[in-house]
Amino acid sequence: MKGLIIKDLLSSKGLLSVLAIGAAMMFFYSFLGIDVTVFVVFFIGLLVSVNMFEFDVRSNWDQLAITLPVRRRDIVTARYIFIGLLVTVALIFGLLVNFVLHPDSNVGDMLFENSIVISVIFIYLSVYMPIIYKFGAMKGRYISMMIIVICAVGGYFLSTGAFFENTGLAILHVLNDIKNYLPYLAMGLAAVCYVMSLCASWRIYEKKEF
Amino acid sequence: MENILELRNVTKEYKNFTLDHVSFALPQGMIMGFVGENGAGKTTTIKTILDVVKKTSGEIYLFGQPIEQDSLQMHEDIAVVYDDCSISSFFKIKDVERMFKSFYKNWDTAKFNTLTERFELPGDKKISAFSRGMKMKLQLAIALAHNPKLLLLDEPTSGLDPIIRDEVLDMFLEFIQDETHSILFSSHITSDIEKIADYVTFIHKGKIIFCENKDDLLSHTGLLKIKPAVFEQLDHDSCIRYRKTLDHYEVLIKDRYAFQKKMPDAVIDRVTLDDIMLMYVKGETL
Repeated sequence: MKGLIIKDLLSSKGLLSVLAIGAAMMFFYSFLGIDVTVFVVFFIGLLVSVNMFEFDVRSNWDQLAITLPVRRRDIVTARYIFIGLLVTVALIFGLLVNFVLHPDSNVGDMLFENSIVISVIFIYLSVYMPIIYKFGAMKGRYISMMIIVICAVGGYFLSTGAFFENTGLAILHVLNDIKNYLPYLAMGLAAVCYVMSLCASWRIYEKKEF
Repeated sequence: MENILELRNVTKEYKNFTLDHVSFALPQGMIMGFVGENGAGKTTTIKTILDVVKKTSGEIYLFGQPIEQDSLQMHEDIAVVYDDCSISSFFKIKDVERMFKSFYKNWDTAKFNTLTERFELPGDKKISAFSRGMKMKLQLAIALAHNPKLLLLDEPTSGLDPIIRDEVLDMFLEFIQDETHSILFSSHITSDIEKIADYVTFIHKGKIIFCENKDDLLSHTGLLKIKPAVFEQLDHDSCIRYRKTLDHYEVLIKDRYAFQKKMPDAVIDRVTLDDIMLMYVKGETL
């Protein structure tokens, strides 16, 4: 497993320019007082995960990986660990940058918002990664974009009209009541989703042919 | 002699192609050349052995164990070289070494460095800048550096210049000096197979046509060129395939020594692997 994570780390050299742009954006906008941590972490998480899969497809890596003394599950697990660590490190980096440039920021608020953010990102990755394993990097990207569009459109319609006035408002009241526990609930849900996603990806990858 | 690799009635079905009841065995300490035209099923067979594609039916044994057991030790003892380089193009040699060292218990850094120097692979360039031949040499260095017992090679000498090809073939011969090691390699360069293989397996349209000792095959098989009138009187049992040309017939003879005794006046030429393959693919049966 260590070798697989090393491989992803070394492969991400190909994304150094992208990661550098992301870090530079974070600095620049933070300096201007605009918190773009969310955007950049999402950008890094999505871009890196897509590109890692595309690198593998381009080099036909999987047909070699399966012949190494590693289990197919380990190949998947290592990818989940790597992407999870990368997103987490990006978030911590973003928080540090914001804190250093704006030391008077409310740390509690920052942690609250970003715990929700990272949970949403992990939930998104939980849906996205099995799709990539099943359909490949290219098709997976289009399918995940469709999911985002459907969720966005669905969210818009749900936030207006009769549904919002009846059910939507009730949900908001419940969320307001539990807002102190929301980060923990969100992170717990994200963790469960990520583990379920890992199990789904295992099953897909174990049957896959290259 | 134990078999290091054995396939029994292995079948893999695709929409437009079937690997059809493929059976052969590779003993320890031997080199098997795996030949066939493009699309015959060589790569599919190798991938099925490695479980990169799942067989539809049949049994495959590696080191005496069914591949379903899929032990990590089995993978420690195998090295694969594919036709294309499956390593990220962003890597340099030192990245490759760092990565593979962490996969294999028996990884030998000194051996890897010696091989990369011998192959004159540049340490300061990314793999994306390597030529096809350089990528193949890199794969061979990786394959040999973790001291496997079985090499599975898909066109390992393609893209190599004749001098390096000769060196690589010598390396393969060195590799099997330890009589517990074996090599299965597919190649279009039949002269390489003739040079070093102990056995030849020929696959055509997903079926194994023959799996024989190379020296016996090349010494016993012969090519007879005869006029049509003589062709009509030939003993069918001696003949494998025939081809009709403008003014004569070419007949592939199973055992030229035995045939020569029956027809002392016949001129039977020695054959190459290319001749044998051509006759099997283009020729007709009697």
